[in-house]
Amino acid sequence: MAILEVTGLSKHFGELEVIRDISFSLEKGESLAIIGSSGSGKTTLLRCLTALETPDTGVIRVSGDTVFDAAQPRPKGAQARANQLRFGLVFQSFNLFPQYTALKNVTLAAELLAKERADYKANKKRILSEIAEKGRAALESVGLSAKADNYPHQLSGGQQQRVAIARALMLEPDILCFDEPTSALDPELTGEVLNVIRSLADRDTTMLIVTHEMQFARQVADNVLFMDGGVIVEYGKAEDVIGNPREERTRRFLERYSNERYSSNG
Amino acid sequence: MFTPEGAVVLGKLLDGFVLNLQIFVITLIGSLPLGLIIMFGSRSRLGLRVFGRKFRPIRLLTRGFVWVIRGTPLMLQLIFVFYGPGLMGLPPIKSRVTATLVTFVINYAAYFSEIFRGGIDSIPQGQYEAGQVLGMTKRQVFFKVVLLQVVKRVTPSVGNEIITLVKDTSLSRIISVTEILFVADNYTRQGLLWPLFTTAVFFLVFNGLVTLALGRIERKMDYFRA
Amino acid sequence: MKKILSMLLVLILALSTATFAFAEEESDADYILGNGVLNIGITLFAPINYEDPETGDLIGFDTELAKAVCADLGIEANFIVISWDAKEIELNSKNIDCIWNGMCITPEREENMSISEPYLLNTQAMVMKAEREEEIMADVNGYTVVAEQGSTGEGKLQGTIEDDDTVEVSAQEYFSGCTYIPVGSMANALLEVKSGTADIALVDSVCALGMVRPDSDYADLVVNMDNNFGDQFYGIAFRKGSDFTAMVNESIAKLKEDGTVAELAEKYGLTDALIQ
Repeated sequence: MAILEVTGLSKHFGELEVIRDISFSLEKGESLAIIGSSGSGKTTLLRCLTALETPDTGVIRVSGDTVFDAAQPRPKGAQARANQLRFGLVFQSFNLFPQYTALKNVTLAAELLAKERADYKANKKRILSEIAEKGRAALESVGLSAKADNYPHQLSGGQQQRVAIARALMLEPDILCFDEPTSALDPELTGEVLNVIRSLADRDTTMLIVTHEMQFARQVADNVLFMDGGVIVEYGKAEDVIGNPREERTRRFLERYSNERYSSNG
Repeated sequence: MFTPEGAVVLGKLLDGFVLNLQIFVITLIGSLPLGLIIMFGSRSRLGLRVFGRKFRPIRLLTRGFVWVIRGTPLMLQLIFVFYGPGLMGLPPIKSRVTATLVTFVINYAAYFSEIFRGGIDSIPQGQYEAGQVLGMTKRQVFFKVVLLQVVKRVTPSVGNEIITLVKDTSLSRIISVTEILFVADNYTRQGLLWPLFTTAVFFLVFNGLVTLALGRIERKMDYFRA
Repeated sequence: MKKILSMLLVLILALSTATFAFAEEESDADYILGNGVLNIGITLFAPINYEDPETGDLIGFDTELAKAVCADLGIEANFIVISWDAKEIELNSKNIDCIWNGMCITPEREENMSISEPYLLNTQAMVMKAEREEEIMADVNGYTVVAEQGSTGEGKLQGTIEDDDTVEVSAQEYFSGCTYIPVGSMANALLEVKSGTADIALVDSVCALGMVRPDSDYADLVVNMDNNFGDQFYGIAFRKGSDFTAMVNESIAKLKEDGTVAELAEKYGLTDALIQ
């Protein structure tokens, strides 16, 4: 059974239909790259999945459980948050909490969740030290053990984004989403972030990656989904879609993309 | 002024200034939390659609209230609060200091609420979204993520208001609160002018201390950037 | 810190005394006549100096008397509304040349300023709500009484102005069972009584009669002059040691003789208060 099933998802802002009738599915351990030009709706799709936007139509199922159904009333409170935690999200602009250290950024949400446990008061010390340990492990997995006590402004953009990835991993989401994770970074800093994502793929983390890095998508993603004008134009294995696209629109996008790439690199 | 009488006059000025300080401290303690509450009101989304237009009664009311308070002189508000009830046939307020405190707390809360609102509006949407996707409740996002960033951002403006408040306490003399300028006026009317000018020293010294304290608070939040 | 503080005090003192030192250099009369203008410090209240509600023009007994004196001396009368609190500072800093505003002559003021011959007689009147007059006059103890800060009424109440032989009832004794609160002006004192934040206002009778009229907002108040707390005299204040005071005295004497002053007094209902 697919871990994620999306059926008939649409969303409009005012007059503009940003995504239209999107359906796809994702297997456990699979990484899917979503590509397309700006305005193609790929970021909106990600925001609909992570509940930052409410779709107008459609159904989202995770491991067979319906987490969103436009025809049903929205779940509230604890259920809404449980659904929320099925997905993790890494933002383009990191969105770390500036007043907390790297470690605290990673552990904060877990600590707040732990407070709701029945045995929290009795075992507070132990629970918090477990969370801290797990947080350090998460930072280690992105290669930032040494920076645990640094504040975000003391870290480079690449390091901040790696902390953000550790923060998302900490809550063990079923599906980890990335929204153009390297777009806000200087070119020389993108490598370290991509390497972290690559290592996650190697460990069979289920991932949805909205990206502009075609080379990276081709190497890391199992499948690629090309969007244009709010609809899915082409879907298939990464090397097929990027290396040998079937659709004319995909081909034009990839051509224009590589031209831009070369011209901007001089 | 370095005579025995000078010492008596300085003592009287100090007595007056103690009243200024009391008004200052109580106004501060009362108006900061009240400002927060008013700010929540002015950001309230509670409402309904009337003929296709959004109508938010709480927001409308609080913003109207803030407009009135910020749009009229504090001195006039003092006169209104103190003399108003009696003139309208209600039991008159007997305590001048109480009338002053009520007026000052409301007035400064209105100013603080606008500063807080500006501070909250300046926090990037991404901070709220990051909290949401990490499964935090709205309350947790506000108190654990947003609040301290807001505090850091508004501290300079709040500090400005606090220093203005120290000086504004003297407006209470319009309703005969015997604060320092009122005391100094007594001497001016007797042809003794130095006490009036000397009050400046009291304000300067105290505001110097306030400035130092505010600097400490700002430095305490220097460890992060928001 | 102490050093800085005392240095600041000295600086402030030096600045304020320097202003007065300069004032002594030239004869005050030469200074005023040289300017061709007499700058007259006033506050607005009826029937002394006030704006005619219909025309907005400045009128009043003192206003017209001052104009007549200035015309006699061949200079222009320029009225400047000042804060009563700051009248001495205004005078000494030469923002104004005199205070001509129904000011009571007191020993302290005579010491600090040069004051003209008295021109109006005033007494202290009690103002209260009409409906409470009987109750208050029966036993005044326990009530709250307000007076203008620094006024004659306050001086009489607190005993800082000694009772003279015109006094029939000592204000200090009469109000000894009352709570006293100083307020910013006589108008403010009446506002206190009207709003009920105080029970009695002790104010100048000239001022009280001018404000408590059937057509004013104070129509529900009464002016009670059953007790004579003593007479005071209104005088015009000039800078200390000014030689201009004598010229004004002379001019007023002349205007009294030709009947101008009596005419003005009648116009403003002050005939009884006029000093012949």
